[in-house]
Amino acid sequence: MHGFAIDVEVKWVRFPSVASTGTKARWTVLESSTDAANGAVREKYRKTSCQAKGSGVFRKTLSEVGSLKARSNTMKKLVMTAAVLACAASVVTAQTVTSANMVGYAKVTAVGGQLTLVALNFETGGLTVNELFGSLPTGSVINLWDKGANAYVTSNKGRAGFSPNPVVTLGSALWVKAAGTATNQIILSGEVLLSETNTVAVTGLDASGYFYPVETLWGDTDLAVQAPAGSVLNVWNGVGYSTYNKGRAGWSGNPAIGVAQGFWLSVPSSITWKEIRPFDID
Amino acid sequence: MKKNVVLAMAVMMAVGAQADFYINFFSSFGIYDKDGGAGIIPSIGDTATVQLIYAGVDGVANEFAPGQLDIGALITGDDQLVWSGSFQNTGALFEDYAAGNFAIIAEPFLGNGMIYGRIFNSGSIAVGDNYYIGHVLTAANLNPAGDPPPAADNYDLGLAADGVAAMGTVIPEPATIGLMGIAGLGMFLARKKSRR
Repeated sequence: MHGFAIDVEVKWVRFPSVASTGTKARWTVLESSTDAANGAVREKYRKTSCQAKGSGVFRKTLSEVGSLKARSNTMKKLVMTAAVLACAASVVTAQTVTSANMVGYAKVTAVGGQLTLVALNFETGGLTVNELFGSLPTGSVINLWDKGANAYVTSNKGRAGFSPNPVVTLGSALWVKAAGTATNQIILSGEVLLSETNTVAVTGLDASGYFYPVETLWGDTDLAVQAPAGSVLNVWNGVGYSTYNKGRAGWSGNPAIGVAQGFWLSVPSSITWKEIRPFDID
Repeated sequence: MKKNVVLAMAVMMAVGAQADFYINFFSSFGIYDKDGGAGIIPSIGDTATVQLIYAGVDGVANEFAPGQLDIGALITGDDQLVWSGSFQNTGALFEDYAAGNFAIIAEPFLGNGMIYGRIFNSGSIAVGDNYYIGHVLTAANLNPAGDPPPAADNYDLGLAADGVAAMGTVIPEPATIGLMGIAGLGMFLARKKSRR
């Protein structure tokens, strides 16, 4: 087992090219929060893992977002300055596959008492609210939009964690409201969707997010193109909604949809959202 | 007693906070003029008056007569004005059709929540102006300051669902019509007398 610790701004990490199908990577994510009242920093390590589906190398240069600290079991320190880095994975000799396997991270800042509309840009393989947001203090509230029921599933954090504890899937959107006044840093992690397209049906009003962990302009998404006239986009700006309508002249604005940022879309008639992967892989 | 008053006020405030028309009022397609050719405000600088109206218990957009609004009582029947504003053609694409954003409206909720929008082809409504009435929508009773905050209901004036725009005309109020009739009769009689 090769071990290291990192303290670097990263967006994605990938398995080393020698990793193979079945390789399981494990790492620990350090989530930090700052108490606004006294500036005290609290840090908490959370273990996570991912099963490799294959190996590959990215062609695209990845931009940097979020602050990620990870450490291995051996705690050998190694500061990485690149945006893309190898993950601590067991290296085994096995068959080489053509598909790549990427693990992504996104940092979400949740200030106590304030609302943040978050979307999950990763495939987590069934992680729940508790597993994703368990580091938030007791009294925190998560409102997950249930796309099927068109209603919120409200989870409150008590001593035993969040209850109820629904699974959060790729493209899900939810409200995070941390208790207290501290600033909480949450690291969302999972596998980056690598399929060339992702298709879902959108009907009526829906809270959603982009399928890929990259910032994109709204107008560049297939969703913006497919949405018929009369559609409305609501993006949370921290204190209220920024509302954009689609009319004869197109959208009334072209906001950037950030990594892990959720949004509301209302469509007057059902559409099929077929988003194309916005990056290349080997 | 004092406690009860405080409690009642708290309840009223709570009810008030959860009782709003919270409407994103806009027009995606816009409105044609009465001839169905040009837009409703064809020239740059033209201004339209846009209104959001509660349709009342009957849920119907009331007019003085079909296709007519009485200038003296632009709001008739059991309808109530919720919000009024203006939209100007600044020369942007399709603004001559009043296609664009009107307002995000948060006003006290009324009755069954049935609302409709309408638009006039002038900034100060006068006799002879044309107007267009949109579809009736049952709006949700929302609290814009809710936790989490809801997205506003959308009201799209001139939506394809409204069909081809049928313009009405603003007419003089009945009393004025009566006076005009009397004046006309007087002129007729005076002319007849002078011929003799």
